[in-house]
Amino acid sequence: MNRMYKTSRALLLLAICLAPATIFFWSNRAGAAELRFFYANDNVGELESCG
Amino acid sequence: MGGLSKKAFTIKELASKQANPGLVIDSGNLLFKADSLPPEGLAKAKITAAGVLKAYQTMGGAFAGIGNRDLAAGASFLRQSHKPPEFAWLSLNLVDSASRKPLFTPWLLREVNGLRLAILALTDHTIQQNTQAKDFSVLPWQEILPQALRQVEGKADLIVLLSNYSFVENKEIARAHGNVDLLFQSGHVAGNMHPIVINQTLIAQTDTRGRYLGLLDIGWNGRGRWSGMVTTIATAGDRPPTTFTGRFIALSPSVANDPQVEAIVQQTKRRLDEGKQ
Repeated sequence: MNRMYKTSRALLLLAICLAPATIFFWSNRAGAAELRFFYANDNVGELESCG
Repeated sequence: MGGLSKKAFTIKELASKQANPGLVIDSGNLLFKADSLPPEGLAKAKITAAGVLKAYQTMGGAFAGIGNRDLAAGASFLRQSHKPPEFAWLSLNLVDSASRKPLFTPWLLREVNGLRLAILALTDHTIQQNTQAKDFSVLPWQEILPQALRQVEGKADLIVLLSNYSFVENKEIARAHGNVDLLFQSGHVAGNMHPIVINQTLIAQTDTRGRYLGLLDIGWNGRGRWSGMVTTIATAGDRPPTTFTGRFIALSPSVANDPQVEAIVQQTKRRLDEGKQ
């Protein structure tokens, strides 16, 4: 029982240690990125639109 | 409601809150109210257009697609402000009538957050006959777009098209060319349109007259699997989808003005008043 507890605790600690590395890997894998676009169209010469 | 200085304030405010400041895009019809201008209104329209463009550049716009209305004062008027890399007018299919070569930048490359973007633009060729100035021709997209996409395909991770064509035509473009990832449309607009996926292309547009600012956040994970939801059903080996969230920010009277752009607006209005006297 004691051995099983120790193994479980070791596995849990390992998972906690690896979590940041896993997140780092997934967020930095090739071709992945966050993009933001501010977009508009058909302003049609409006300086101060109203209505 | 609306206004360039409110738009500039909102962009600056949002950009300051995150590491990736974002890309400012205008997909066309930025400058003029109509695709032809009466001779008596031309001078005033040009003053306004110059003010609009200066404001757009001040809020971070480094390029814009050419819509049919942007051609109301002729291609020569646009050429005066076409000064890449500071500012570039974009159109693949707006060409010199004789040589059939592009009059402006057909496409450009930008690196954003480690991703290479190819940005292309199309002008609606079906409306050119209404424009009085004839110092250009506009070719159908079918003649120009396939070759341009082949040229940029290996150079970019993501292809963005600014299109002045109608939604019907843009859907056809999306169905014919799955490698167009994002399509921002102008012209033929009726209100804000929530981004919609057609084939492998996400199509977006805002309402007219600068009343709203479109905000599109993308979690890019590669081409072809758009998801508007954060949680999706997948199997263990699946590549995560490319996610998007869209917002339309109303530029209501309560939104503050950006002082720098407001000064440009007021200066432009003074120039217009001087013209009246």
